[in-house]
Amino acid sequence: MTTSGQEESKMRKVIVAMQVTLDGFIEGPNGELDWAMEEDEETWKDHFELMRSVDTVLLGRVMYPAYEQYWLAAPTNPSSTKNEIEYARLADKMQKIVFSKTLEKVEWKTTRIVKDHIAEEILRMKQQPGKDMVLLGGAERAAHVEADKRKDISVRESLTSLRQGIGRLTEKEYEKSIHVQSGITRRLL
Amino acid sequence: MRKVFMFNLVSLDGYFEGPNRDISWHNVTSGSGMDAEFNEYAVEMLSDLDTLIFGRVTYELMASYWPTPDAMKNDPIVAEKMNTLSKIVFSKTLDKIEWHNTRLAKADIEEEILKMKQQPGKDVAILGSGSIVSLFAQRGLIDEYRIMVNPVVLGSGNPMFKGIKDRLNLKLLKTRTFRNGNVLLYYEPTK
Repeated sequence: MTTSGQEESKMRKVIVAMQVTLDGFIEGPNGELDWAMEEDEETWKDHFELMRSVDTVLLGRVMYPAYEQYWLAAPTNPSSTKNEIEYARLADKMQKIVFSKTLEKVEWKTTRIVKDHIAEEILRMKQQPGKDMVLLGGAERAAHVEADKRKDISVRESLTSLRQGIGRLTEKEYEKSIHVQSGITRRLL
Repeated sequence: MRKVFMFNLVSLDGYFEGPNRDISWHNVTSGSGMDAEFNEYAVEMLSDLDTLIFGRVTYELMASYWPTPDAMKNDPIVAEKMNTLSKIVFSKTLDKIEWHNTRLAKADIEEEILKMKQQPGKDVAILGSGSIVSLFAQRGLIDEYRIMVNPVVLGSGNPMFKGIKDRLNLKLLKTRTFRNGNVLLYYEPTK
């Protein structure tokens, strides 16, 4: 996205970033994500390019807690890679918006909760000056958990429950599943 | 051995036809005729093969257009190829075939394809024919997938690969971006 492009279009764009299968699915019938590509330098380069072209990240409730937990801790986590630390730095600077009717509070100072009137809120943000916004959705996060999932089956299970959180778990169970994951939950991006 | 490949146009959300078999979204025309770059690709693709495979629905669509004077006037090169190439239709219900050089196959599909692969010749292409593609893909009969993603989201319709039960892992061979926004993906099944 070039500066001149933004000037021409006037309004900020909302970009959806996700990984899908060739037949258009974001996860398997049981929440499988193991098909997503593992990350390499080229993929990271692409993430960084995207993150530098935006100033706002839009997230849903299911994804947010793990995203916050992981990336907030990444800069001081001794097992973080160079790329992860760079991503965490970019994510930290970013305005993050989480859409949730139930989430009460967040740890990340640069995150704001939007409870309702989502469409109006997005429209309002689009009219404000700024860079583009990215909606991280579907299996975009899958790539980032893939490597770890192969190592630890419990991560796969907790991820499945995480992803089914909206439909199957009560809010309490959901919070618990997030908590259980600490230490093993890896990157959710 | 000859290769059996499929070619189909799909929407970004993976449908090969919209509700009521709608294919008006196919991004292959320009003005009143065929998009020049697509046409060039079609000619090139058809030159590499000697046999076309269809299911009944695609067959009926194609057979109602390519032999007509309109087709021969608007798309003379493609029409000539479509009309002269050897064609096989897989259908249990069709009983009459009128298109030139077309054979109706009612026998076991798998056997038919395997036999064809053993014979000398150029490549074999399945055009359109979503249900045949799913069936063949599931049985491992397709050597290459050429999927042209059109820049449109339909939201509903008939999904490509509908009914496939076992995961099909693919290796990307190459991609080609067309000026009109279509992206052609070439895959082969991983061994």
